[in-house]
Amino acid sequence: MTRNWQVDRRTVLKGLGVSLALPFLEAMIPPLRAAQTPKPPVRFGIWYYPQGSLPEHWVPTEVGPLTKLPSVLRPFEAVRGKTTVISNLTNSCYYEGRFSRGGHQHEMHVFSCAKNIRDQGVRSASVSIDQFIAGKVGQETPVKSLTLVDGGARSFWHDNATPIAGEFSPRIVFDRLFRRQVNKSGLSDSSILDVVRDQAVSLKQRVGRQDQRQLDQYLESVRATETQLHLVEKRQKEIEADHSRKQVNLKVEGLPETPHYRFDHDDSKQVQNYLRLMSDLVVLAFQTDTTRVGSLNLWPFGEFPDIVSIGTEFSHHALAHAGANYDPKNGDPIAREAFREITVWLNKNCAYLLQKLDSIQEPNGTLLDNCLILNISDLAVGGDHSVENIPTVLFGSGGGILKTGRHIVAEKFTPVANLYVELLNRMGIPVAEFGDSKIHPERKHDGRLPALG
Amino acid sequence: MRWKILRRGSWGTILLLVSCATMHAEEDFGRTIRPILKAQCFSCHSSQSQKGKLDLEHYLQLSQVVNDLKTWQAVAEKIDAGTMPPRGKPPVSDKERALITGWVGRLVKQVESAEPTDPGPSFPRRITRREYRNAVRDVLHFEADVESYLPEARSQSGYDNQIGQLAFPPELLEKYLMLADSVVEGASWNLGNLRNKEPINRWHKVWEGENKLTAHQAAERNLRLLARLAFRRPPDDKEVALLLKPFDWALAVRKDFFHNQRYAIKALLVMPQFLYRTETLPAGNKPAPVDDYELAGRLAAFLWSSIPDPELLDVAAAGHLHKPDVLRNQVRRMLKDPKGGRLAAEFPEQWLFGRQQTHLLDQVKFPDYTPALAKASSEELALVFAKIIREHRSLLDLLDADYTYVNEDLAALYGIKNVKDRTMREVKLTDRRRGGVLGMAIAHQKTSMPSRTSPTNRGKWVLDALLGTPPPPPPPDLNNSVDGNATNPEGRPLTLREKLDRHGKQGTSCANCHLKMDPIGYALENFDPIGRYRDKDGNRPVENTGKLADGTQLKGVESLKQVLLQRKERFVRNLIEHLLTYALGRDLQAYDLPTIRRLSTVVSSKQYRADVLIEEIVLSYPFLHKRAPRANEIARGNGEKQP
Repeated sequence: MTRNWQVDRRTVLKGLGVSLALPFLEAMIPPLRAAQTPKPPVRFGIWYYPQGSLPEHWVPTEVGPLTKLPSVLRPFEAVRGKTTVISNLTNSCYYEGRFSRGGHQHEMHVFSCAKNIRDQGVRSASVSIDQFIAGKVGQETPVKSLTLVDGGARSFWHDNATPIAGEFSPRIVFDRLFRRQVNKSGLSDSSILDVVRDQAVSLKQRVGRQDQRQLDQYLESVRATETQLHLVEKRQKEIEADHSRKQVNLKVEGLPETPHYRFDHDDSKQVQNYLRLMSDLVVLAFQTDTTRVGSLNLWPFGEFPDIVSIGTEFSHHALAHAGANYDPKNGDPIAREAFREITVWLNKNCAYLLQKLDSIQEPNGTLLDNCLILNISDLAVGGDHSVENIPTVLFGSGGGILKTGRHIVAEKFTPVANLYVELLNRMGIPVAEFGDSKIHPERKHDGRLPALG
Repeated sequence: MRWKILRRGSWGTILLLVSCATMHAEEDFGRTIRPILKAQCFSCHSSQSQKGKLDLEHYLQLSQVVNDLKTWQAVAEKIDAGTMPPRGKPPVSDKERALITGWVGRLVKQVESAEPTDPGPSFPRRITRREYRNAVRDVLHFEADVESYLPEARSQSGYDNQIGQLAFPPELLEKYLMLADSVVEGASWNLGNLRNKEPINRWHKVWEGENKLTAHQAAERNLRLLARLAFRRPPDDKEVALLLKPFDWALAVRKDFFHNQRYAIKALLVMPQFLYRTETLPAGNKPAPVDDYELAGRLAAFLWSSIPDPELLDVAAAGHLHKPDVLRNQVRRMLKDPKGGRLAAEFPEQWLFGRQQTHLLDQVKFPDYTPALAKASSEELALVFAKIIREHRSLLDLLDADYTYVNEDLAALYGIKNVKDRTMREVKLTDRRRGGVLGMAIAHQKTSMPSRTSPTNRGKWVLDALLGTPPPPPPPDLNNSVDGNATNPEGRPLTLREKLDRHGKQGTSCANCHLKMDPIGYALENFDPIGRYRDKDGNRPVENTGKLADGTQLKGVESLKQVLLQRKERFVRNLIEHLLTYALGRDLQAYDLPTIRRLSTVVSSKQYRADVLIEEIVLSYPFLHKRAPRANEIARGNGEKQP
């Protein structure tokens, strides 16, 4: 152990790193207290990429034990034993009142499973699985959830009318997670919140009683921020009072000084650095139990000139249309191979996150063991916008709620909502349904996923 | 009697005003029109099948038709042009066609000639991130990094200032707190470097004892000044007390006037009075004029994308702003002010490309497409629009003009000689393939695929952005993959044009729309994806001909400009609707039709002058009035329509 933790007991920023106590670090817990140490919570993560995958390259040929990973899943070899591949889920849904087995707008459904996607005139889905879980488990952590990288605010939803614009700036993510909640003068944001709440109340009276919804949203946001500040302060006090918990220094490599962060989206090296930075932040947030829910959206990265090694096209979308249809015989084989290369590269980046999570020890295993990380796309294959058999891979066992190292074949056309209902129940969040699990034309198994065993 | 009904404010209000004639319209609808539609149109456009998202069956009453009058105008036009019913379906007789188009035409006239009586709902609206940035720039002289902190709120109508998109999600306040931190830190550093005219230096003097004030009194004076601007009205006593609280708390901890004042300013920057533009709502559903401060707020948001300046607030304080001549003078002053350029910098690009799905262009294939060229292309549009406003020119200059603005990057692209640096300047055009938005590089860049042009996208863009007649969206379960390996009978791979032509002929479901979009795009084929003029696409000569549905032959951009100039009334009316949408910050509704009609009339009679349109919008009924929102009018989710 370094002596760094002795320098300052308080949670302080150290340059571009953070020094704080880890709630679930085994080495830090004296044997006498180990029994009282709470079991680490389940952390839920989503690694979402657009354009789908290629069925012949991600669906393992054998059912049951995962002995050999197919080509686009090969980056996950190091965590193969902690991997659960699920085939045959469908992301078909009602779109503007009509049942749709493929096409546009399915990215609004894959996490929300909304009963009716609306995107013409009114844009509406429903609460997405990450936010639903955050609503249940996020109350105990300083940050309710992280939604990283803005994908045009279409996939993740607070509620049926409020999509979430993801956070693009790593520095802002870091500051949200760990910024000092007391400013340099010892003047806190809590006092400001007291004042602005009173201002909002007085403004409401001034505006009139007819419509208070807008300002009520503002007040809700004030409350949410207060709750968060309160949690940070509470946790701070606990840590200060508990001398057995020791501090460690955690560094985030390459964290920019300012919130302003721009890079060349066509340069895969820069994209990779960015994705690693964001992944590091997710790991840090999970490790310190600052949040328990995190989603990463890879939507903005569409061009891969230095990843594609064959052909002349390198736009993910264009390649999907040229070569990536559900039936490999339909379309240009060179484009299909180029598309495969991109899919592999995206998964390599996901593997970085997973291996990092797996390198961190918690009392009952690694951090990855206590996670459920969902690697998923909204389309089966981008070219024909098909949504039957979307690529679905889970990592981690959620603290033992899932038997891993397997390929699960669900009954054909099982709605993706069934996976969520199953996971929620196993996570100790009893629900009878999620989204369209009860009204989907392909509904089955009472919304559950028995194949998960 | 009529007054009472009006106050109840039902959606049929407009109807009641046009009384007698409308009774006939109602009768005709049930007796004549609906039966024709039932026989001829319901097979595709019933509540069940809804082809092209059109359900004609659910219209049972005239009030529903009036609320969707735009749809009905499109229906009448399609029937009139003979494009509906489509080939292969039984056609309507000439008599039936005349009945429908005549009936819709009369109805539109009746509705439009009524007095506007509904200004639409007034919601407390969160300021856009542009408005935040500009307000901070105008008052604290600091460039806030709003793009990093705040989410973009682009509505489906393409604008960033629409009430439906400006929700306040739970995590937003924290972002505003962080942003305010960066502003007060950055601004104070800035102010250290920029002596002289800065407001905060005035405050400095105040603190230095110019007026022998206590710290509390000095802070109160400063915060009142600042809050008057930020709140777009003088703060009341209760608000001032709350404004000062953070300062007083801080003073108890530390005797540093500037530091504590920064803390108070940080609090001010997250107060709802600044983050929302609010208006006091009249009781019930009765519309009322906005007060002068509210009007100043609307004006500053529309023309400056910001908060009012002291002069505007002074005029409002004196109670003169609502007087038409005073108001006109203020509009003119505000447009002349350097801040007036913001309308030209924001509106045209949002109008023309805000709804456009744009693609990153392939920089390997198009090495000349640099960030500098993209910026210059965007500025060209803004500068042309600014000139049109400034020099009282016609909005039709946007369709064709003998001038434009270029710098060396754009000049190189356009083949204009003797432009040597990066400064944008006006140039006279002799080559009329340029001039007007169709000749601007930005129009081609924003409508192309990464490595090729898209006649379909360009055609759709012209129909939607310029004429306001977008084709319906593709069906939800469309398989739009183009067969990449298709060849002609001799085995040669098909060209894009050949593929598209096939696409346009195969089956009616594609052809109906593609025959409208693709020919327009063909006429623009001489422009490559970055907007350079070309005669050849690769080795093949460019095919720049197309035939419109009505038989008009197009050849090249100049012929397309002519066609659009022939439809100038439609173009201008569409532009009016867009500028009104931007000015009001909400989708237009049936009750806005009389206003649109009035604006059209005035603008047509004044040579389509842009400045006239702006002034008339400011003086229009919905801009000067407000009413409380009704229960069914939701601010969130981009929809104010009844479910």
